[in-house]
Amino acid sequence: MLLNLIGSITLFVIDGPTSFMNTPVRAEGVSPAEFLATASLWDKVFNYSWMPLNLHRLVGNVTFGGFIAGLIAAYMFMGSKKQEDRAYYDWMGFVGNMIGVGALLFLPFMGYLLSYELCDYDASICPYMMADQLSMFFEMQGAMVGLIFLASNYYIWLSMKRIEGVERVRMTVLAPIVMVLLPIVMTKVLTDYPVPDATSLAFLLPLLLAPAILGRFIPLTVSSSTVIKVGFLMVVVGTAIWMTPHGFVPTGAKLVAELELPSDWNFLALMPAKNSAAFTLIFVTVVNYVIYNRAVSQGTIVWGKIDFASQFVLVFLAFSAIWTMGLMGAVRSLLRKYFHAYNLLPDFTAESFTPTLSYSAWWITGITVTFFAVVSFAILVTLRPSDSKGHAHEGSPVPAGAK
Amino acid sequence: MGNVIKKSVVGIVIGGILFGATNALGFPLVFQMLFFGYAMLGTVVFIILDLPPLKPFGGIKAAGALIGFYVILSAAYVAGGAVWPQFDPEDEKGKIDKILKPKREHYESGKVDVLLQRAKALDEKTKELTARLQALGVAQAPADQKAGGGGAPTATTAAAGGDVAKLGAEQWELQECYNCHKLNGEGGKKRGPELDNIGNLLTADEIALKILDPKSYKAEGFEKEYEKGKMPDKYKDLMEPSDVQALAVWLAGYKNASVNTPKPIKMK
Repeated sequence: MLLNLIGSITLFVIDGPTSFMNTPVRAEGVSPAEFLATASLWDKVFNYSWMPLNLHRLVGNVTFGGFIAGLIAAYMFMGSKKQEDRAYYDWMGFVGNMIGVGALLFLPFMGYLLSYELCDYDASICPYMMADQLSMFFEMQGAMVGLIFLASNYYIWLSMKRIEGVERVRMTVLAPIVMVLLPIVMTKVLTDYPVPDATSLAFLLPLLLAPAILGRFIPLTVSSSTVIKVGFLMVVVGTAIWMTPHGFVPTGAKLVAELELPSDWNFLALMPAKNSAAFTLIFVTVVNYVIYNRAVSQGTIVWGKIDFASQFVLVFLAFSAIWTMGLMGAVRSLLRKYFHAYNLLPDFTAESFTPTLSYSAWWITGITVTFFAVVSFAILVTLRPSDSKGHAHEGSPVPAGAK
Repeated sequence: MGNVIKKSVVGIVIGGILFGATNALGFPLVFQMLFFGYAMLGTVVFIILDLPPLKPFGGIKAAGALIGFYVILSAAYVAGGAVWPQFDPEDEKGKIDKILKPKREHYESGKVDVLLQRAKALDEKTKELTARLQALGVAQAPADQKAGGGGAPTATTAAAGGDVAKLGAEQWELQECYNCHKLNGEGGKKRGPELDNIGNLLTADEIALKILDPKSYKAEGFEKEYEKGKMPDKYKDLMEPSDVQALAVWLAGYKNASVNTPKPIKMK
């Protein structure tokens, strides 16, 4: 607890100067330099994007921690020679993934909050980020998020396969129906009642709660396998909506009709559709976890017997999540444009320009690979599976009720 | 294997339908291909779902598989970053150089503080002289000084030289005003008013004032944007007074009455 508290406080302190560089403290009608001279240290720390960045990074770090635990478990599972160890690391991988995915579900909202505050600070940041120089970074983000959600749901799919009696698990037919309807209804509702208009909830909450409430009175059910397969279809649809751009150009200035969405379909590139896509991914994942829990309570988990491919899924999730964090970190940093501290301290170096996505991808990959090399080495030297040297067993390493 | 072939055929058929449907709906080719790609992604996902379980392996084989997996992931993400349209930094470098040039000169001379002090002293002197002239019954100081401060006359000089249109248009591009405002039928995302008729509604000095202090005028129909402070309050720091004046004079030349530029309301 204390370690977590110290870690969080350290993160918040680091975020002070980081967020200051993006959104230096300011006051209406006063130049930043003048206001800065009179601002207290707290004024400087508690700038526009400090708390949104704190929340974003806090949730991001939980995701990171969960997926890294999953990565360690995958390495250990691969290196295990005994069934007992495999059972333990299978469980550890599952829990790590659950923590990672659980926090991941909140990340789009936290990212939205941060970008909302950045745009509120300076409206010119928004087009730079979404429609101009950095727009293709968000295309890549859409692809990465889609892949991460596909992988995390695939892990649930593989986890389900090792549960004995899973074939008996069923769910109300409303669940897959709502999955399919969600992106369509939500896009329409959020277009008519944009965020933060709470009217949208009057339409969306009944829809989202329908499987849980109405499902009790409607006897029609479908198998867990069908629900998950419909879920995969909708994750692909959600990813498709997320990734569909307004135009296939790096900046709005280069937009021509041959590369632009037809005007009747432009809604696919707007925020209501993107929010709907993100929420569809989240909703599907939550439903899949509900099914998984139902399968666990109705069947028996055979820990250690998970498909070996699942270990590569855990590695994939850790690598992809960290790569995506690098990508979004690059976006946040590049939002300062040609300033060290936005609108305050110009960057006169030769590197003061927006790099290409391709160039950034090389750097992000290099950093991610370096990080993984260090972590892999650390796991290898400190945690490598070895025969226990006379350890007295303190109890079962797997949860009660498991085989 | 049969399952894989069956799903591949289904995927290609669905991809073909999406391709044809988007073609019929008038989507450009690149979007038709994108939708076909989505169908292929779905096909791969559904093929993977029913793959037979992978048998466990360990030792060197597992280490090799992991390294290979990392190489594939790295290559895929580097390639993934390269397939999207790339922004050309050269497009921006010239712009940045122009924007930062005056600031660079100030910094390089190492006299920022001195310059600030000088500007303040000049400002004081101007005020003092204006007061004396007013006391003597002489006309007020030039309007451009009111709008742009001590250095504003530069633009007027440029205007006199006939370069104002070029300078104003250049500032429109450099400051990326087109991101929010429509002009000549181009740019804008309804974040700010269309400006083709602004010359009939505001004078150059009033436009300059709006640029320097976005809260000075509110456009009718843009109350929400005004309240939220959507127009950045940064140009007084980013732009040279002469540039503000050039942009304002250039915009004041737009008097296309057929365009419904919203009426500005004086707020300050």
